[in-house]
Amino acid sequence: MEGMAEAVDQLLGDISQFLQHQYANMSELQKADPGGVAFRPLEELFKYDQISAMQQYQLYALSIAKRRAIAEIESSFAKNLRACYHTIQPISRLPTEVLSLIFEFATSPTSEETCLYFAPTLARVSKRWRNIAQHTPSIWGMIDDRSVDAYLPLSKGSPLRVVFKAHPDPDGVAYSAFMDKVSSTAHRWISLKLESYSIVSPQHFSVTAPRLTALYLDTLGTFRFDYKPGVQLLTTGYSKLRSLHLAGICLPLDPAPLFAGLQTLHLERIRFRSSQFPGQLLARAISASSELRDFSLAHIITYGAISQENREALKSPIDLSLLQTLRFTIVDSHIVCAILGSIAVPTTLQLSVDFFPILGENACTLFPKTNDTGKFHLSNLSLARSLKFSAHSGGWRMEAWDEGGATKLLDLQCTTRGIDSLARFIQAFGCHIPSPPIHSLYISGFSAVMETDEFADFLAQFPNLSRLTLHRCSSAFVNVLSTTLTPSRRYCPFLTHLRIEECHDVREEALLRMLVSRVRGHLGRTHPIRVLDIVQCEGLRHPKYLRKSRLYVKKLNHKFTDVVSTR
Amino acid sequence: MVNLVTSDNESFTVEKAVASRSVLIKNMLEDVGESDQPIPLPNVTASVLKKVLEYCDHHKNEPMPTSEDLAAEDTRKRTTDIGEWDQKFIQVDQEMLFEIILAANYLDIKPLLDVGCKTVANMIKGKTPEEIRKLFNIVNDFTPEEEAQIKKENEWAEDR
Repeated sequence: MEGMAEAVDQLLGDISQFLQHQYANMSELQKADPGGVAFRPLEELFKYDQISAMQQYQLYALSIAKRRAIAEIESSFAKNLRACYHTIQPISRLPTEVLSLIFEFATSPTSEETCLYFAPTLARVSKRWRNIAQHTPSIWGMIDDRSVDAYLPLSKGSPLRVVFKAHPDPDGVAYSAFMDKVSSTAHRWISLKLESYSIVSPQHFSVTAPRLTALYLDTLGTFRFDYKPGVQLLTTGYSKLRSLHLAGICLPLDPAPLFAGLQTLHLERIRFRSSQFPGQLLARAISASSELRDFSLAHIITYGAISQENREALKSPIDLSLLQTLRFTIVDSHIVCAILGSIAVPTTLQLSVDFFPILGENACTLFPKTNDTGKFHLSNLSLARSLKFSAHSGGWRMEAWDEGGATKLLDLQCTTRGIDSLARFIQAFGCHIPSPPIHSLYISGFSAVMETDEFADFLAQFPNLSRLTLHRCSSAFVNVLSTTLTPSRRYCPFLTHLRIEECHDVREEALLRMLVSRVRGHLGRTHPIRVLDIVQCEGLRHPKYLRKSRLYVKKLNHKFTDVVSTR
Repeated sequence: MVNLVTSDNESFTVEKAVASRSVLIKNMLEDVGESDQPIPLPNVTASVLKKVLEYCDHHKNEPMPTSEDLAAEDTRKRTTDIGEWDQKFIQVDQEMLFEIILAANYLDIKPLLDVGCKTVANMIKGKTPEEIRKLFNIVNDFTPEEEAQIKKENEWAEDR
């Protein structure tokens, strides 16, 4: 005990010395404690006990030192706690404006529907998140009929994306109620998407939305807005409009001002009178859209006696050099032809045509021809290196890709029961399309389309082929490869990769003969076939001469899966 | 060349074009003019600055976002698409991710800030409040009464 008392005395002496060094006298001490916080608890003691001035000074100094020590410990503890909190919750270190930016990204949808209601989710995470979410107006800008009451007040003055989705609303009551709530905010709309099963009420189009960049209107039937007075949405100039989708909505009489500046244009279910020459009308209208990248037409119908529009390519076509995709889905052939004939088709254009021929039309009528050569006017096909033709019971399809297969230059689908449709197109194709150096050709279901000699003529148009796939074709087509085109030249002399798939009547002997003939023929510069793929061919189910065939190729892949037994 | 000194006293010497991806540093360099003086970055540690400089070096030849670009962002749809290289770059643990975001914010490197924020946004997209709390160790500080009230307010957004 004695030793401890000594140690305490020693310690107090040290503190006293330190304090005397820090604060020379009482007035110095009082300066360090301006509020007298440390002195107050000692006042009582000083009042009743006989305590010397020196002792008072020492007690007072100790009290200050104690308070300072506690404050330091508390501060250090708080600092450590904060660091610990940040380690456990790193996101809490992000400042408000950064979290706000994260919320903006998190509520920005890839499609409008996906994140429409995500803002309330963010506001339910914690008090801080709720506060930040409620003070980030832009995340409340996706307005639809469910969110309108909750979102509009929080969106403040931020831009709005307004969506009204189709749901059973036969009288248009829900639509009208929704539009009544949002029409006063039209000056803030940057996109408007209205999809209604009922006929859209035209008076709601009388609002002006000068900031609109995307407009999507889809109504049941065909709404002739031009019959109604005061309808401004499509007639007022929208200099900022970049994307326009109209389905079931008629165009203004002069659509060019509406189309100017567009990057994406989709028109669907629009009826034209044939006397309007819709192909030329549309071509003229898009001529103002030098920024156009995607243009698509679907179910465009002409009524009245069909008048022949210009089927020849214009000498000075419209320059739409930025156009990347052009799609026609069930569009009258004279409209397709007039549009294709009026524009300078960029070489990288991805053209897609879904064609349903009527009144004896055929696919050849889709494409304009040049005046001088009479060939199809499709400059993008000059980049084609790979072609695929497939015929099936419901029609046929032709696809063309560029080198490497990165860009699909043409996708032509024809829905027809007439088996001669493809044959006629192929005949015209051979005559009219400038022969690009096609390296890869895929043919499917051709046995019903053409005879062997017709196929031989067709194949003769591809002298640069290095890869050929025959799918669901007759064995006679395979045999063409062992015959000669001219006394000194075989078909497809550079063919090195042959794939035979589901060609059930192909026999092994004939296949071997073909392989041998291409090795031993020594005709011109005929290359031997290096790779042969035999896939699902019934006649080659149990091959006997595979070993022999392998002597004539570098690689032979044989695959037959008995579908019934593997089930 | 520019000399940058981090909060943990490590110094980095980088090309001016790389350092100038940071608007803060770019403005400092413009204000100070030609000088050999090191630029102190008291809010960035060496490990974070190393990552930030890796980003700046990769993107040094790209045009800087203009004020028009920033203004147009209001009306443009913000996408959370991230480039292939950026995606690999930002594959770091949560702590480093937030450090990078803080550094990008402090150094004023908008494209890097966007990459970081998009990454966090992609992490939370489609998640429930509870899943978000679990992901970031966020404490639910709502009282049961407050939660009930909020739930009631958001009834309209529940799946029908």
